[in-house]
Amino acid sequence: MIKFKKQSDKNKLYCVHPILFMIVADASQWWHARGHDFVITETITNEEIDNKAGRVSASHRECRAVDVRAKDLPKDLLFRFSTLFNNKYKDHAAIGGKTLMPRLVLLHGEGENYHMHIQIHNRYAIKEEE
Amino acid sequence: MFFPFNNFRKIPVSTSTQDQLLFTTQSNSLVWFLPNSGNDCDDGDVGVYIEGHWIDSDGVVHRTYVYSEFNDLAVNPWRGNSPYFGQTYTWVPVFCPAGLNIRSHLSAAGSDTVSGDLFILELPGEP
Repeated sequence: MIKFKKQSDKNKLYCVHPILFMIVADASQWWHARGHDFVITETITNEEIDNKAGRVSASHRECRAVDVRAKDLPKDLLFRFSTLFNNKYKDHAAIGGKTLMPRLVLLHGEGENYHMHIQIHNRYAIKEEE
Repeated sequence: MFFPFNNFRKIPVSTSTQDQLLFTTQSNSLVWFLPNSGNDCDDGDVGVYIEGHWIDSDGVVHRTYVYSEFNDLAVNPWRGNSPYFGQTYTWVPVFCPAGLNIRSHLSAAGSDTVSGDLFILELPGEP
């Protein structure tokens, strides 16, 4: 099962890019098989929400990123997961701004805010129609 | 609780599952192929046969048989020129209505082999 911090994210998940949705489904199955159901804490945002959260990337409002709570997940599994999925989905992953390397999973934040940012490439950005 | 795992299937496919019936969609679904690491899947190497029927507005049943070929045209696919049923040449999930049979068909040049997983995600709502 996937759980959600905010009920509104249940429906928003169906509006993210379908490749991201499939990857999230695959990831959730990986965690479930190891006894952990993860919690999605953010899906699609807008500029106002991003500004408030201090985000510099547009990935959430472009429907190509989700955040997953990591503070309750075992650290060894987190690193195994990020290594495995960064490699498995390297053809679809976002490119790191500094490293210029594909990176699907980023571990972000501290304490209560520690989370996985799962993001796909900006060629998959879904933008408001002009 | 949300998103039960029986709505998401990951079916291994390879040349040994060639053209076998893998799944019949029970509701609207997204279908995606992901090659295994190390596979060299060039354009045209992998396809998914999706077969079923449409009922048009006059109630006439039309049999369809669509071969959706995956390749690496990874362009923004989802809105506008979306990967809906009937369109081909897409490396993104294909939308399938309920009641369609899904088979995989893999081919590779020479003695190469191709394998991977077929992802099937059944979407909520009325078929």
